[in-house]
Amino acid sequence: MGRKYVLGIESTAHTFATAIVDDELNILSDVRDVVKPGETLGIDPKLTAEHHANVAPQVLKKALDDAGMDIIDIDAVAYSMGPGLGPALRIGATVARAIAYKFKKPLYPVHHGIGHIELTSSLLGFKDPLVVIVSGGHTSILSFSLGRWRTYGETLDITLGNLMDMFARKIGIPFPGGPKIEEIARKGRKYIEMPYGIKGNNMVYSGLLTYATQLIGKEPVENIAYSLQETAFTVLVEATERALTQVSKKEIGLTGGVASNDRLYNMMCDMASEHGVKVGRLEKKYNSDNGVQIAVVGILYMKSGYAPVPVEEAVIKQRIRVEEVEVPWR
Amino acid sequence: MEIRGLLEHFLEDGVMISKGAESNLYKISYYGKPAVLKYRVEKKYRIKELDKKIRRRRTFGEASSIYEAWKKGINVPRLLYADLERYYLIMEYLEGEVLREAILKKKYTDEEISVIASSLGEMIANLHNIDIVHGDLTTANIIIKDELRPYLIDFGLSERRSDPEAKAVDIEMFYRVLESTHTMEREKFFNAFIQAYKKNVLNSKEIISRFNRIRRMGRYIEERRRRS
Repeated sequence: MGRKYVLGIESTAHTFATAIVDDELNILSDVRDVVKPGETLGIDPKLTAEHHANVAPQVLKKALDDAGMDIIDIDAVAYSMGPGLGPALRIGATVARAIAYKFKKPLYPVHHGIGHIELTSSLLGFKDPLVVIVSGGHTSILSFSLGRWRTYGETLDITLGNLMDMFARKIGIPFPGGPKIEEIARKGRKYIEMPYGIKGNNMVYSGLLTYATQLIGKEPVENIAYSLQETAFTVLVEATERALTQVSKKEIGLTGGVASNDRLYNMMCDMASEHGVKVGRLEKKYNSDNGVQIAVVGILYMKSGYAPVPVEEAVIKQRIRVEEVEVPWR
Repeated sequence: MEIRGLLEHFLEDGVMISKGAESNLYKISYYGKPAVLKYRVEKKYRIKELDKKIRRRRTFGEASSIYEAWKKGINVPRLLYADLERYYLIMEYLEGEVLREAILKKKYTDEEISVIASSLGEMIANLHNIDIVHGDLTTANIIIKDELRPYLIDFGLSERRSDPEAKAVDIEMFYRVLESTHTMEREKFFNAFIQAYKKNVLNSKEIISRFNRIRRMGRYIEERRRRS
């Protein structure tokens, strides 16, 4: 039996991406095009969708060229169905449906978050991890139980990515501000006590953002950034530790944009080592949204014999929780 | 460096009964009676300043909450000793079974579940009536003693709050736990629980309406779109 190939299409937020992955999870191509954000705004859904529609043909062509394939060589198409921005998601779904219809390819809608989770597990070689997703769209602690990925803790208001980016914007750093904040925080010397928002295994960050914002101009920005990071990360690591003691897993996979932050990674390792638990994170480029994560889930669906979705039922869902998605491959 | 003192003496004779996320529990003998020593340990991942603040705040919060609750006749372990400088508490040892495990083992009939849930609802209402929210209501923090009497433990995240919002959050967290851990029993359990809670809590209308709103607050919940 020959190799099988899945084309993955990602378009939940600011990234339009395509990738081709084979059934042994080798990555044959990975092409992305990220919309340039405005100076003062976050993501504009309409402009984002326009961008995606404009770049879609060349991003798709490049993925095929890089893999040395023609569209007819693809065995299935997987696309990001949500959660995300409606107008942006619609572009990816439209491209996916068009290919599936014209070339008669099986079609798999993929939950974007599950893409992050499965890509993390497979690249790290983790069998049954606790997954911590920290990005602009998610801040959740997840673990697999009774046939589904389930949330054991999450933010109750804004995400960790939002917190970092919004604070960055207030001090004049453009999106994505997280990496810059990490740099500035390294120079912080004094810890300023800030609102510590933990509710069981869940986090609350908006009070922290307001508090830190109000200190701008009154305290050196290095100290604010340092204290903001320490507080926000301590809350997350504490919530993760609480979840860990409840589900007793042996691995923690850290993923999403904020996973690239070394301070967070080191804190997670310090916590995990006390429990004899291993922490892993991906290479930086796989922490951002990409087509590989979607293609990987497509492969998993295909290999488990899960029925593909007819073109007319291939919808998008702006809001869909991981618990709503059946996971036939675990 | 921490000084050697009473704590070391207790730990030497004690037997560790659990290692939680933020504290270790030891069964010790206190003036000849079985007791539990709860020691909040240092966490390497936290910076020193934050580590000390958190341990002190939680030890104090827990001690004062269980003492206040106990004074009102709510089923909680009796506080015997607290040391805020060394971050530990000594409490009465409760003989019983953790509710989470008992439900997972299907130990109770439907009827028994309703009995437990309803006394729990009344208990949480009484706690909220003295303006304490538990902060970590899960079935792992409930011990069932004989005659199906529930006892509430682990007040580390408790807060003194009089606002209906905080009380509603407490209830909502419990709802989530039932949903994820006791999917089968959730409906029966929660119905009995909330009925008893509503009957006993002050300002119940306000709390329940906030509870219903918070339930839709999680990220990516479809119902959110239909909120008024």
